[in-house]
Amino acid sequence: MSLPTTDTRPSEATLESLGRELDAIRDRVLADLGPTDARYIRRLLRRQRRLELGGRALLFAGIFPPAWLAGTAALAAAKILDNMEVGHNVMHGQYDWMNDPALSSRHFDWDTACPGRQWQHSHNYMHHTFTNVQEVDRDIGYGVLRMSEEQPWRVKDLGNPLWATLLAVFFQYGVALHDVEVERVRDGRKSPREALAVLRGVWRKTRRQTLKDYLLFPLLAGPFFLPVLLGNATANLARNLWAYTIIFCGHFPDGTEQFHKSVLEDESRGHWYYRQLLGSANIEGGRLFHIFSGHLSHQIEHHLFPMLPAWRYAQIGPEVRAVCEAHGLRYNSGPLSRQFGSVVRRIFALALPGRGERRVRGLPAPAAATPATTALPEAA
Amino acid sequence: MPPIPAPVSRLSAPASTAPIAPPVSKRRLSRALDRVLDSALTRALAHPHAPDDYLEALSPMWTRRRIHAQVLARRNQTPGTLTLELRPNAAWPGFCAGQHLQIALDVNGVRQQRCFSPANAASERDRIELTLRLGAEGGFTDTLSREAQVGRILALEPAQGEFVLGATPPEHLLLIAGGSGITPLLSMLRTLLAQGHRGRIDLLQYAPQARERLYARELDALAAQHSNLSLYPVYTRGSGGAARGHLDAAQLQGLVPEAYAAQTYVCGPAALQQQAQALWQAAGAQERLAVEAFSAPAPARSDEAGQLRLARSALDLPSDGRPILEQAESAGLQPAHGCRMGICASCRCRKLDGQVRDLQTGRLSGAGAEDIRICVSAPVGPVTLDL
Repeated sequence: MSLPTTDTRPSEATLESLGRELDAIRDRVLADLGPTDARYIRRLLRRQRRLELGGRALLFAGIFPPAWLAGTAALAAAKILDNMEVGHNVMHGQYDWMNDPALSSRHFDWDTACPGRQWQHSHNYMHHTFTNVQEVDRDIGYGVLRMSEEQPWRVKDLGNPLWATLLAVFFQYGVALHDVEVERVRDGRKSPREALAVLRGVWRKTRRQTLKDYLLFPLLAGPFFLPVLLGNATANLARNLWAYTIIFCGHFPDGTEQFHKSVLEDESRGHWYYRQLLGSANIEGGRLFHIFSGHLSHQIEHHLFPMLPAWRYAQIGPEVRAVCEAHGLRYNSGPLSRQFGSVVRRIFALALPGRGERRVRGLPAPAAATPATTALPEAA
Repeated sequence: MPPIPAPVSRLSAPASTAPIAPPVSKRRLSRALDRVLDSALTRALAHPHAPDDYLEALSPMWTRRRIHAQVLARRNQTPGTLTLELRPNAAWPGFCAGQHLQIALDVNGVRQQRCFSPANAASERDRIELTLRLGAEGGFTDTLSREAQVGRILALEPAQGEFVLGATPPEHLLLIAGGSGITPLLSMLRTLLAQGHRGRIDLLQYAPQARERLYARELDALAAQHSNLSLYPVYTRGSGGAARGHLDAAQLQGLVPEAYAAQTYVCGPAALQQQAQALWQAAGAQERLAVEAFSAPAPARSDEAGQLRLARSALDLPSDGRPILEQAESAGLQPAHGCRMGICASCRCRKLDGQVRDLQTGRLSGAGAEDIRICVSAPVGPVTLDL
């Protein structure tokens, strides 16, 4: 898992041929989009909705523990599918070509606290365009965590593991509040008025989400108020933990790289691909695992081709890997335990000043001369 | 049955072809269900999705707002046409005789919509009968024909259009149908006869030859039953009809001498419409003529210079005169769209500034911000769109 310790940016020729070959993969899938993709997403959406109805129905009988367990599990699974394989991917515009208002990125909203249109700005634009570029991609640590050694250590970072746990538990709110950009308001780079408008949108959505899961459905269950309330809360928690796990495995396992702002100047298509590749990591697993992760387990393919229907990533994964390896570039892929394990280690390690193995690519000379290469102690 | 672009003429307010309602008990039940399933509570429970999203996942026929219809029967009346009998769900609000509805269908995974006019009486609330010409509409009708097997559920959009009867049915009604253009006229005819209308009705029905005449048996039976209905089959390429050849002044004079005094509705191929318009204009009777176009005039190309600025996509393109929708698609965008002929407004998009030409009517838009249908609009000068 060791990488060259200096900034070994590939030659322009390599980047160019990388860009050409990846473009070719994308164009082939684009040309092939059709009824199979439509059938896939429609069927998935139908099953997701049925699963949710089934889960909520079972929870009404939640006084019986098996019904509560099954109902909660079904509801959690339905929320995960709604957020990840449907919501995330539909709102990326992956199915816009189908011209179906029900699957349009302009209309779809998901079952979380974050309003869909707002998320599209922070995610589709900021995160996907400027992936892993420090100070620009705010998905690095969500403005809360210290995820890179380049981030100056502050006393509050001693709580890194605690903040990470809280972020995981309340992940839907973390995602929702992400776009308020508190730190930019603090620095005066964003007007409080703008931030307030975002907050209002979040509040409107959160209020309705809370009303639904924590008041209306429980009330509708009458005497079984409590089991339904607990079931809904557990399902939301499970969805939060799962989404956090998958998403943090996308960009922070060992071997993923972060970039200095300077790389954005006149960045070529090939270098953009290269940056996406180095900034992302895949998780290995079965078909169902990939579906429940919204195919974000194919984070590399997703970052190279965010517009392609996600279920296609599994199909093109081997080709992408082959292209990367042919160019001597690392294709970071591993089982969930390894990827998440390294994320957890990083969170602990960076709680302390000056530790960690993060290297930043594209630092301008002479600052680039000594990127931090301290080995990460195995037990953090 | 033909696709139909925007109605060419407007006669009067939609007709009083008040649909005969289903039994009271069923209607009450349906209304009660609507109240429950469309209530603020149900919507709050479904948030952020719609109640219909969940109902549709159980059965598309259960939706309360989205219209779905199940194929009950299909038959080929003539070579090259398909007649479908549909049972719409509770969301179907009915239609006025002469109006058209849209069917939404995936063609190669891409949702497309096309217009078709029901041929049955508007009083039949829980039935829709469509006849479509196969091979038309760039593969749409062929896909529909393949997909619309008995039992299959189709997605519909509500009926619309101003090609309808006036509030009081005219004393003398003349219907001129070409090919599958018979469907909206047959609906008018059936609706009036079902109401017991006694006024005079003449129907000129054009077909290439006898075996291609749609609804031949049904129309012959209606004419035999109702003395106020006179049926004149005209064959453009065959014998055996009341006349032979395309519509002209002499033929019309021979069949219905009082034609220009009658309230007249025409639906058929472009040539038939144009001929009727020319005749009625010459007779100074245009105000008694209503025309529903048979096929969409392919949106013309504008030869005016223009510049297309797509604000959301940060694209700036010199206009080549085609509809904005096509130009945006050529530039790799995927704007929402429906009929692609200016009817359904699915492609409605905010114009931020600049002027566009409506390619169907030739009308020039205002210069300010407004919604336009990009499938039939081309830029005139620089135009900025929220796209």
